[in-house]
Amino acid sequence: MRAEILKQPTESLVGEKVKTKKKFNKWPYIFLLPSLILYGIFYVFPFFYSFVLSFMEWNLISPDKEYVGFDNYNSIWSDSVFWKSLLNTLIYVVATVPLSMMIGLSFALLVESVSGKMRETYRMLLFIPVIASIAVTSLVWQLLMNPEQGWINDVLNLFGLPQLNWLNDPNVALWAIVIIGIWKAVGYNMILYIAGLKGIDKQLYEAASIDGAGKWRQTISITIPMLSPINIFVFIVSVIQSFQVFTTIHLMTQGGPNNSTNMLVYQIYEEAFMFFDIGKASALSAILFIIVLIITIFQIRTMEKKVHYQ
Amino acid sequence: MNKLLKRSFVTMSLAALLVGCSNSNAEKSSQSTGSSKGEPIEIEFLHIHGGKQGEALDKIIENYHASQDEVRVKPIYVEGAYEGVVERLQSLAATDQLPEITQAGFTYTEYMLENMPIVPVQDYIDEEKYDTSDYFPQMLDLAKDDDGTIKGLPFAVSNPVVYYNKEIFEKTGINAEESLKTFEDVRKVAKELTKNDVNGVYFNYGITGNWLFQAMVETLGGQMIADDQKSVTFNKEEGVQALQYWVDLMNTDKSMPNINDQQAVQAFSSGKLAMYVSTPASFASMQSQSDFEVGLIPFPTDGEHSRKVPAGGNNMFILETTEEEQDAAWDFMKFTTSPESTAIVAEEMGYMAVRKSAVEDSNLLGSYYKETPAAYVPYTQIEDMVPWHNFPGKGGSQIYKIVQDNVESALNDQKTAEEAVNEAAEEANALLK
Repeated sequence: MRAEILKQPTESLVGEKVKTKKKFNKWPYIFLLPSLILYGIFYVFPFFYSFVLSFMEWNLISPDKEYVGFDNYNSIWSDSVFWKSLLNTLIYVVATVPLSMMIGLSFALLVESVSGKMRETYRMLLFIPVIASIAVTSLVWQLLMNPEQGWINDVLNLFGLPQLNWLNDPNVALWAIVIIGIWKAVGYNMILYIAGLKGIDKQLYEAASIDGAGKWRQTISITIPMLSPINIFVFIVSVIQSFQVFTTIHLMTQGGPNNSTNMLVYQIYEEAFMFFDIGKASALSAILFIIVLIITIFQIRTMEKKVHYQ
Repeated sequence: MNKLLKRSFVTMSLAALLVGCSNSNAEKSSQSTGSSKGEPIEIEFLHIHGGKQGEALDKIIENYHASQDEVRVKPIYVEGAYEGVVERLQSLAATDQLPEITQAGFTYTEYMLENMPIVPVQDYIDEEKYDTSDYFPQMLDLAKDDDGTIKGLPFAVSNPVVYYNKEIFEKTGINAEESLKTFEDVRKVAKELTKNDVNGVYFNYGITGNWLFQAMVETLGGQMIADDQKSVTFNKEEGVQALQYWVDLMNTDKSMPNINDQQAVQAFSSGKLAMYVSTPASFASMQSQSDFEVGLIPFPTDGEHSRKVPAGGNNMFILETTEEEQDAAWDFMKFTTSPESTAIVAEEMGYMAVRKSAVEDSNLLGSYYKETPAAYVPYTQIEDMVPWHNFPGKGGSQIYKIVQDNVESALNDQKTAEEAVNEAAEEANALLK
């Protein structure tokens, strides 16, 4: 193979005319092909196919799919559950993303400021929520949030604060899901920020300290601006991930009580696998895609300008 | 450096977007190996029994393997109860990987008959002249279609009962068996027992959204759906009364805590809940989790109408594969409903046995029920058992959720009981058209 690669340029040079400076090298593409095929089958194809399905009526099993035009979309516009779950999703995203980013960054700065063995211990402890099985952690949260015997209410009681019915009060349940979402996302954001911190040139700090900048000043004027590429990445990924919140809802509230924790992805699941309406579920997916696409383009456009590269 | 970083974060975020929006809920593939001569036939069995119940099921399968060596059963546990099974069956059907035999909850019988390639058990029964007289007729009915053809066999059957904490009742000197006959009795006792951090009662209304609601409505003399199946009738007086009863418990008396089922089980087994109304299927695990004695009593009535309790639990169905595998599935089905196996289901899970002889035989359940009379309570309601309602048509399964959403909105004071049942009925009727 190596010999062949070496042979190619000489051959083209020998030819009558050198058309291009660089000959097209097919090898990288050949190596990429297997994963591209799998990616195509499992991501790209279903992605486009669900757009097609959103104009069909189908129950996943029956061999017949019926073309129904925009019926599925029309039934979504008039579905009060959709508007409720859209609102819930937006609240969830707006509440979860900034908090999980801020806390993630703070943890990253704190962990990095510790030296020696403890640094790794802290990093590991804070990362546990990310890798711990959601099935297990939601059971633990379920226990903690039990209004009668739960530890959280015991603590609130200790400080004389009002006790909440975390998962069963329609006005509170969404916030319980938000808290769990933040708890779960913080560790991942922290790791990304730590990676970003490691990439900052130490010379900048040295130069700053020679100029007389203190620790706080250095954080504000060097660390935060230098982290901006990572920041955007974390921001975009967090937004997308919070739009997709599903498992905690599925395991803890099933969208209840009375749809107060129902969100778009959970509603897609309900329509597809509980009500057997693949068409409507696909239409919901298409709507979700368009929302996230618009937000992401907007994010990239507006934030690109504020990024500092070294 | 500048350009590279810039470009990489744009592509990375686009990639994340793509990955994010396509359905990453990849199905775990399950292979079934065909049988070659001499090798045992392997069949897959989809079921819902985890934890302690799953151990009991494993025991039955071990016994089956010990009894013969032609068939090997691979149990596949599906999370998410009966909804989970239907969901899994759908995705397996779409990829042509259906198991040879599956459980299906009684609310999904209609769905199974309409959508799944079921091999009717009746064919085998006729062919082998298999004697079904030992099965409780009320239970066998649950596996029949509208024409009376037996399509599957019942695996486990239950009906709603009242659990009570014997310690609490003894302390307060209330005789549970005597003083909890009617809904009003339950309400009064629940109110009495609600003090400090102990709550009186919890009705587990969350079981497929309507199991206990049906029990309440029909026991009050009402009906869930009109006889022609075209409109729901749970918004009549009895439906309002049923929901109002729960609303009163939760919001007026504050004897029923506003918690979910998992939390109610935790509360009951830690002695913080005096009564718990649900399926007896968790009796065995509830007793083992609690350090006090757990009692069961029949579902209450209103004192006027006769009790009508919907049958909960599940059937087993054979799905179309090769003839050899279908025969193997039938053989396994006979074994799991044998008196010996169904006795394990009853004793170690808490459901009712499906065979009369299993209950009577002192080697099987006879002595168990003598020692633990509480476990016998569901059988005392066998005459009152009615089918769990299957709402017809495409929107059928959506109605369960509509009912549950509206029950929750009434319990949370977002609507009155009357508004809640009427709005539920309106939405349900739109789906039945």
